[in-house]
Amino acid sequence: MIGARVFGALAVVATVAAAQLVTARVPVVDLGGGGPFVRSGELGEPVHLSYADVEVTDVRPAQYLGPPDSTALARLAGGVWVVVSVRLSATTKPVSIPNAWLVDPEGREYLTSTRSSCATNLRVSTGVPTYAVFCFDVPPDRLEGMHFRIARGAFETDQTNNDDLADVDLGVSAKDAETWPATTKAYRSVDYALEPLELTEITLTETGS
Amino acid sequence: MSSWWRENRWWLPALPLAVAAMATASSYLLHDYWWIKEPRHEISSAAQGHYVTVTDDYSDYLGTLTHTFQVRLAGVVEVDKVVLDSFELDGPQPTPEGLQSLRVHLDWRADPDQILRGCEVALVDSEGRRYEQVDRHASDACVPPGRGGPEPAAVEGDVREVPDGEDRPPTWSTNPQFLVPQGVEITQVLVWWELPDYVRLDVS
Repeated sequence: MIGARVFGALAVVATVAAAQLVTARVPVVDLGGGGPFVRSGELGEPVHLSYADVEVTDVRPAQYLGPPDSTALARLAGGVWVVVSVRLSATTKPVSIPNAWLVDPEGREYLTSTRSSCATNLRVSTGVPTYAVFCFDVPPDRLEGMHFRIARGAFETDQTNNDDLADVDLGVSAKDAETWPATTKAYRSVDYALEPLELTEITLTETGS
Repeated sequence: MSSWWRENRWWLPALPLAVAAMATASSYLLHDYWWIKEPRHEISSAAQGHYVTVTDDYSDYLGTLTHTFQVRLAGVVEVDKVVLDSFELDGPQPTPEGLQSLRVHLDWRADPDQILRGCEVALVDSEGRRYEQVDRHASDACVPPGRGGPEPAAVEGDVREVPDGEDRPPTWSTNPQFLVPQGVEITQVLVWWELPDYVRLDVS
């Protein structure tokens, strides 16, 4: 009887140890709880998430973004500014959207630029459309096939898992990818508003050094 | 009874208890990540036009404190204009298309030593959707502007005291403003300081 119990206890310990070995050493085991539930869409098409509706209404390139203060220096893109206009509204209760990001066909991800004065950390109201503009500084050779992504979990800390995430094909074609890096457009930076935002093209003036 | 059942007659009833203990131990994050994230625990309620007496616990840097007050929902009325951001100098704006601007009239009574700053007020419609104020910089929804009474201790070194000249009268009214889609029927006003506890005021 005692022998059987000792054997049973050792069997439990051995099973736990083997499971620990598998989860620690075998890379295919994902204990992170799975990835996000990706809801796909296209430019001009609403994407319905469990907590919000998202629609990318416009995307355009720029060489410069002017800060809200018209006397401040404009920001020159390191690559190309990709300016994405989005309409959001929460479904059943207000929701915080900490950030948005772009992902290229190779899976490289680009967060909104802190050099712009565009949207970040949005609080989206229930049933009330929020019009936001997100600005990304993207390498010129990574534009084609770019997707826009947004979720309520923080992207940087993997808090988008097991939750809805909107993935919108921005429709950047091979031809766009050739012409966008040569743009000389400059727009006034905006973050968000409760009425549709129109991007304002601005003319830059040189200042003394 | 076979020998196996007889031998394990005490362990078998212990099994569900062990499972319950395991589930409890595994769900310790429910409090921080779920329970206190939403208004889930109603502590008082009243119909429109009636005062309700509320005693509620909440915490500041120095620990848990209790405040007691009375609140009455006087009405929810639609207004023409809305302040979208109190930091902007534009003043009230016409209500955006497709939306309605609602002003909630709340009447309050409390001893001047009760700490009542820092509340949240929300509307709930007939479908259960919740609306909060869109003006991120709106004045406190539960105390009179500039006369909010005692402040809680927010950080180390703070004391709970009334800033100079901000003594609160024993009765006052507040009028927080909300934007909601046109056509929705607001049925409840919720007031809270520390989730999940909230006060429900029914709209009639």
